[in-house]
Order: sequence, then structure tokens, then C-alpha cells
Amino acid sequence: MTLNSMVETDFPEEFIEEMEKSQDVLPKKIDANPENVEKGLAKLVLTLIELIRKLLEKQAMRRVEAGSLSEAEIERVGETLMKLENKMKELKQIFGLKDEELNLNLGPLGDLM
Amino acid sequence: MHNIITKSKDVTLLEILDRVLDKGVVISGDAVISVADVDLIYLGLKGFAQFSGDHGTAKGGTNYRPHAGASVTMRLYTYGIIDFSNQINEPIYGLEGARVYNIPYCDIGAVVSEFTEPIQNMTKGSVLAHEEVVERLMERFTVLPVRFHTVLDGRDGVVSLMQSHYKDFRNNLDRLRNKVEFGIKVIWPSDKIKEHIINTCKKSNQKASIPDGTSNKRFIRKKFEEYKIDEEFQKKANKFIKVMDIFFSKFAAEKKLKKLKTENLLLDAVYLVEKDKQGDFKEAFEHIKNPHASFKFLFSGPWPPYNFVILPKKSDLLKDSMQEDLFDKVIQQRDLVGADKI
Repeated sequence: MTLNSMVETDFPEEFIEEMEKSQDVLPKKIDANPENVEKGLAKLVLTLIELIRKLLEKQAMRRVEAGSLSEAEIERVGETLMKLENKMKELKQIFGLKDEELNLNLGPLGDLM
Repeated sequence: MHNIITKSKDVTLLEILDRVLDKGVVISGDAVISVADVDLIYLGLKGFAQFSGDHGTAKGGTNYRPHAGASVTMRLYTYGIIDFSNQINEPIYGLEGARVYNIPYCDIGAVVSEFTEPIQNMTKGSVLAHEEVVERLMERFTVLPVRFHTVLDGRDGVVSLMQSHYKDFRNNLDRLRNKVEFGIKVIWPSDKIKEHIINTCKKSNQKASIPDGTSNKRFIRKKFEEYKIDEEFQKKANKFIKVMDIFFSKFAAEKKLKKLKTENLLLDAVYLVEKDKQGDFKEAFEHIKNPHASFKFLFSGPWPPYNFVILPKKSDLLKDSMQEDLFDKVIQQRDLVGADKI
């Protein structure tokens, strides 16, 4: 084998590690069977909820940054977001899903989150 | 000085896999959908079965091959589309040691070799053989690399592929003439960067005006701090990428950048570079590399332009005609709406 292209780096191991970490989230094999079909559905639904939750959180942070929330409002927003986060943690645990699993590969658009 | 060039085999293989597995000319998506351990649908790798008639559209993995013995058409492993429509004189050998040859269509050609094995798991050897053939072709022609393990049904299948995509292939060949692809990856010390950001935030951010007190407020404050840190982190990443990209872009015709695929992997970029600017591009890389001692760099190439073959989404789908039908309907409906208004 003679390849013209070559790869130059002083740190091959580290690049291998990062490349493996960044592999596609889309599984090469889509597996559905009676035991995990529920999990697959939960994954899809929770992914969407997680997206909305993150958007809400980000928006709240923008409002905090702009200083446009009163103390009472901060209190209420805090309570809501905290409860939401805890509920998500619970659901993730029930369905045995990890944070990095809650994502969708949108092809050329990259990942959802 | 301590410019050690490490040619690690595994990194090389990963870089190749990153390209050959789902880039270049991709004829169809590739996934096995299985229900309760039975592979039901096998998408991809089957080429254009429907072009050559009724050989069955779902040739299953290794265990299900309809008419395997009865099949008359030769299965052809396809390496690339080139801007050349004559015989290739120099001997090049591909998968299974078979000699590759060119199937012409108008002024382009598809480089193939005969392929007898049933579809099976890829091996490292076949990946390298694929890459080697494409690189050999690249020395003499403009090549659109075809995705690894694309097997078409006979000469007819290959010709009808070129027929239906001639314009796209032609456009890509013209665009990519005399150009090669380089890959650049950069790892930055994300932990240290974050630490630095946190320290500067602590110093300056006394004004974070969320009163202490209830747990709800503490929660918001914690979240807000995380938010600010992430914002700074992204800003820093953008800044570094911009600095590097300005340098590389000077010598590149096209580029694709991906920021922070992981926290550490600051940049994963591919650049399309004209062949006679390769030296300049490499030099630019060395210039960037030296002053950034705490960053880690990976440089690879020259590759066939896997990442720069642009085919319209439509060609991924096998049912072109159906799509056109749909399109027609939309137009018709629009016409109707227009008519109503009048």
C-alpha cells in the first residue's frame, strides 16, 4: 500500500480520542424490539423537551443579564427551571438515557444541540 | 527543531474512514433497520438495483441474497468518477486484487473493478485499497471519489448512474479540477481556558446582581454563572478559529469548518486547495502552529476532495421520478390558486 496522503501530528492518541468522542450520534443500526421500543420513543420525546428546556433556560439567562426581571420574577423562574431540570433527570433515569443520547443528527445541518 | 512527524497508522486510518465512509459521491443512505433481531430493510450498498431490473431491491447483508447464483450481471465495485472516457493504460489493482477499468459515458467515466464477494463487513485492507485506487486516479485525473463499498449492478447500472447524474458529475468535476483537500484539526486546552475564564469572571463579576437567599435564587445564580462562562468560552473559540482561518483561507478555494465538536476539539476543518498552492498552504499551517504551543495540531492531506463533492439532495434518493411527480403537483396547485384569484 502506498498512499500519498499523510497525517502529521505529534499527538495521535489525543486526536483519536476526540475523534471517537465526536462520532455520529446516529446509530448505524436502528434497532427496534419489544424491550426497547419504548425507550426509542422516550428518547425522541425527551430530546424535544430537552431542547425546549434549554431554550427556556437560555432565554431566562438573557433576561437576567439584561436585568429586566424583578426579584419576585427571578424567584419564580428559578423555581420553575429547577423543577423542570429535576423532572428531566428523573425521566432520563427511568428510561436509562444519558445526556449525550438526547440529541438528533440533522445530517448536513449538524446536531440538534 | 522538535518537529517530529509522527505517522501513526491508526490516526491515518481514522482520517481515511472519516472520508470514505459517508462522503464523496454517496448514492444512498446506509442503515440497517431491524425489528426484533431480524434485519428487515437493508438500505444502501445495493447500488442501483432497480435500474437493472428486478434483481430484488433489498439484498440483505450476508445471509440473504436472492438469485445469487442465477444473477447474470457482474457486480461492479465503484471507486470514482473521472473526467476521462478512454481506457486507463497503467495497471491499477483494487479490491480483491482485481484490475480496475473505466466505463465511459460521454466525456466522463466511472472507474470500477469486478467484485464477487457478498456484501460483508469492511476490513481495514479494503478501506486502504479503496483509498489507494482513488489516490492513484487523482495523480492523472480529476476524481469524484465514490463512497466506500458502493457496488453497482453491471455495466448498465454504472452507465445509468452516470446518465442520470451527468450534469452534477460534470459540474463537480469542473469545480474540483486541479484541487485537493487538506484536513486540519486543532485541540485546545479547554480545561485551562475554562479555568482562566472562571478566574477572570470571579474578579470582575462582583456586579452579578442576583441577591442571595432562597434556593431558587441560588439556582438561577449558578445557572447564570455557567451561562456566562459558556458564552466566554464560545467567544474565545470563535476568536481563535477566526485568526487561524484567515491564514488558511488565503490559499484555499473552499472550506468547511466545524467548531467545538467536543470541548477539546476546537476546530475540525477541511480546505479545498489548488494543487499549485499546496506548498503555501502547508507553510501557512506551520506559521500558525509554532506560536500556539499549548494547542495541538493535526494536518492531513493531500486527499481526494471527498468533502467537496456536492450533489443535490435529490440524487441521494433513488426515486427521482416520484419526486418530480410531487413537484409537478405543487406547481399545479399553485397554478390553481392563481387561477382562483383571477
